[in-house]
Amino acid sequence: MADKDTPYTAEWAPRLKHCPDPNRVGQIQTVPADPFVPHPPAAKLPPDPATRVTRMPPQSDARLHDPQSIPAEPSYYDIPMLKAPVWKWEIANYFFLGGLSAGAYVLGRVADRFGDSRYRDISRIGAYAALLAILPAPPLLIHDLGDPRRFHHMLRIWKPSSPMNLGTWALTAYSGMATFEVVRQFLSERGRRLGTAEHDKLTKLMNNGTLLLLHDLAGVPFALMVVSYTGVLLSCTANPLWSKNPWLSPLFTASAVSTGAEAISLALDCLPSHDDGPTRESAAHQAVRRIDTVAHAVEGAAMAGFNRHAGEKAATLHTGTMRRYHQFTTRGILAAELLKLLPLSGRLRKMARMLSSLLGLAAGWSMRWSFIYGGHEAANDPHTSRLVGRAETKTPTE
Amino acid sequence: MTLHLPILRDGRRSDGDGDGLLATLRDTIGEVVENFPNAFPPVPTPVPQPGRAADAQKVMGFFTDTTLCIGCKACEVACKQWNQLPADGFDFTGNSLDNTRHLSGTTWRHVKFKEEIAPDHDGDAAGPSRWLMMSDVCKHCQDAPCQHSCPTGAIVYNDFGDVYVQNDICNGCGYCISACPFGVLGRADAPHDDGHAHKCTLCMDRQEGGLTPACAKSCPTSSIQFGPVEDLREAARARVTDLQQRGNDRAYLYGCDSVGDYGPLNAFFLLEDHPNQYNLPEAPPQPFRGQRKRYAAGLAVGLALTGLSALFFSGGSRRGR
Repeated sequence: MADKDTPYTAEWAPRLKHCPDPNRVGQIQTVPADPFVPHPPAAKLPPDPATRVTRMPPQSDARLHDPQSIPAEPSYYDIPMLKAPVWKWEIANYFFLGGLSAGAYVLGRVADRFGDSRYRDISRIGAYAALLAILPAPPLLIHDLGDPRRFHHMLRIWKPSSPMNLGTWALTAYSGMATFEVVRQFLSERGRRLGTAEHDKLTKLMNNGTLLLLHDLAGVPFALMVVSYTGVLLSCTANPLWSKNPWLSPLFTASAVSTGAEAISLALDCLPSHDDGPTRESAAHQAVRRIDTVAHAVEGAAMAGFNRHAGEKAATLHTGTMRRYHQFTTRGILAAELLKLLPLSGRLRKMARMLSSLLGLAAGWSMRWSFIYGGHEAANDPHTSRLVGRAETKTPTE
Repeated sequence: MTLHLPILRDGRRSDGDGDGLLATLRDTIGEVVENFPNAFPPVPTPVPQPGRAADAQKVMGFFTDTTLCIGCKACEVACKQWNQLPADGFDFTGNSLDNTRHLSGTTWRHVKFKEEIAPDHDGDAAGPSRWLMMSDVCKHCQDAPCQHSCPTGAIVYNDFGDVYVQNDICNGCGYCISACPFGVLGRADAPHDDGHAHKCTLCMDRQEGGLTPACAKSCPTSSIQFGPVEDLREAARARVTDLQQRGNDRAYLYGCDSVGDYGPLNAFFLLEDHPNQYNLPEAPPQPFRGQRKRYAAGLAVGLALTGLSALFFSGGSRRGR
């Protein structure tokens, strides 16, 4: 039916190229559906459908209590009452490193002030370990916040009612102190080696007795603040695991001293210049390890107090996902102490000592980890999240 | 003295939008230079004090009467619309008509909807079927733990005596999220997460213009009432008395007087069942109570261990001499 007016008979028609209709739906693009995951897992359901009780599906993966095992309690569809914390691995590691740093710093300063030349290694190692451990702290915190400017926002005001604000100031001041101490140790060491200690003005100024006393009077409290504020910070939340628990701060402080002592002890073992006898350790080593034992005892007592105060709210540490970490903490500390008692000599003794220090450090780390991530689980568990706001006596309205 | 750096005038001041490390560094330095001296000393702004009689009429709040709530979610929608909050997506709980679950960074009013259906109408099943509906909101505590916790001073009491998050100062540390015993504050979910905590502002912007907050304005049954808290408390007490006289013994006020560790809340509720049925704590704790004692305990242990180590070090040296 081609007539003269249609383009098909026009002389340019053969030059036309086939062009598919842009509006034509050729192939429907489909988004692949997410794989269906039955929740709760089908394997966990009772086998007989007749015995199956219709319950609401859990709102989160973290569930400390089987909803069918606890008596029915008033709830809003078992949706957790609280929001889970947003703190993750950065904060757990920061708590560990900050504690280690402050512990090492305090021990180093105390050894310098109260000990004689046999303890010089401790003060030196303490200073370097303190700075090395605190160096990753600001990057970790900034990574948690997501922007360096956000860290600075905390330094715009002085607000002691907020443990986080107070802790940021303490951390800032303490970092300065730790840096000062490392510079002083470095200059003194170099001066002693080169014999120029008496002539170098900066070294003399930094070793000035009054300045050092002022440095200690400010630095040691700042260091203790850096560790004790972390526990107070956690206890000043509505999280079931942490809320209002007075044992958190002592627990973290004791753990800081023990991990600091273990880091120093480990460094003493790795230091080629530090000579331990085949059967008896040097005085410095003995003192550090004795302090470690005392700190571990305090830590154990604080942990017992914590568990007693928290009661059912600490279920995450005993029956939840943090059970392994908590067990590692307590057993690690126990094993570290038992290793000290072994009657060994020579290289074996040194290896046992190093293993004991490593175990203690790992236990301190796992303690911080279990407390941060345990907080997630406690807040996500519907039953536990209701416990924190439970009245001691029944309200008259019930 | 104020330093005017060119970077401060090019409009890229909101945090987090610098291009690359250099720009971020430049902005950071500029911000430090501009703000650091100005932050000292903090200037207290006149905020209505709940205890002061002259300020009583200035403190504004909500009274949410759940016996009147019909679960229409107009408040939730009005809040989202006015505050330009993103949708929460289609996420069905399968529980009831409530699919939002809880308050969050993008849901500042949330209508709880609880269906309790008697399993068997013929047998000896417990209780009749019923619906519990409640429009939940930030409680605007007068001794707010989120305000205590905020390390940047972003959370303040505003001119209407309510708790307000200044998002340009908020640094997203998340402390307030853990501190709130009602689980109110939150960060937005992934696509909308700007790293800041958000919550009900009690429509501070509308109040400044003399308007009623969006949720109260939109409520078709006056379940949400807005006004000076003192007046609301009187109205609420009258309402409970009235309900009880008409035979509803279960009606009671939550947060009108003290609840748990808290004094009266600025946003309080009339409930008909146990608070946990509405996902409210029976006795919300104020975790900042006893903060000093906990500091003292930690510092005491630290000082004791320091003293003990001093003994070990000095004792060893004396024996050695």
